[in-house]
Amino acid sequence: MSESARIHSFRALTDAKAALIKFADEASAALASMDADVQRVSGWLASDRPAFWKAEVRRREDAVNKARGEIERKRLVRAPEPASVVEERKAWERAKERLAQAQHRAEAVRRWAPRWEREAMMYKGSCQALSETIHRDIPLALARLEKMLAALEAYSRLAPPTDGGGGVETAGGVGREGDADGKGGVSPP
Amino acid sequence: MERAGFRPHDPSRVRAVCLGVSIFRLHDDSIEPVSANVSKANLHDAYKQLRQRFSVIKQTWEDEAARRFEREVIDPIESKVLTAIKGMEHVAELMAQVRRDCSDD
Repeated sequence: MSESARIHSFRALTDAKAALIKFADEASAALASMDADVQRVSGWLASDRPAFWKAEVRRREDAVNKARGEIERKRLVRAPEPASVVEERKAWERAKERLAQAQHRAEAVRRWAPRWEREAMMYKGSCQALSETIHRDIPLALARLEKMLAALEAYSRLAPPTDGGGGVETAGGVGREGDADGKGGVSPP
Repeated sequence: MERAGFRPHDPSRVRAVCLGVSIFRLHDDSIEPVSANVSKANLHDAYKQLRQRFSVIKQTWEDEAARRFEREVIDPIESKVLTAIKGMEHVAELMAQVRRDCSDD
């Protein structure tokens, strides 16, 4: 094997290792970040939102009662004269709308919570194969590259480089020599 | 570079992305599905870079072992990344719906 071919092969294998490690790190971080978000929404729907909308419904019910009370109060104050309660009625309608909105949102939270849990499970399923690749297949591939590197190193020790001699052999060539399964390359452990 | 859903004017978000941590957070009483899109983009970029680096590596490692390594290790990653990205896109859409339906806007 020529000196340049050996250097190239070493570099290619170490580069392949580095590329796989970088990919595994980045993909793992992306999945972890997404998992954290999914969990956060689960907590948001399970704890934060129900408590928030329960309190909001109560607060808005109070606002509706207060607005209704304002109408009655104005009529009483003006009695027996007729009182204009147009503004008070508008405020009462607005308060009722806000209450209906809160009730609608509270209902939406109740609907979303179980649906989100189902969707979260489905999401985890969609990432399962990639997660297995990151945690099982890539470490095996790295071990495979390590073996190729070791074989290349052993070969280069056995056959010291000579100027212009030996032609070009690569890591795969070295790997095939010691490969009992006949598939080429070095098998993972 | 501006990614979908990413608003770089918010320094806390920029810092979070640089640190590679989740930037999904509670904002007032609502949720922001910003990092779902960031995670998706990061995963896509990671795979794209792996492919690019391996195509450079193949220029100096071009024998049967290299082809077999690509066939057995690198190629199968693509479909798994695409499936995960599809899942992330779906979850991001749902997050936006959840936010619309359950926040006090």
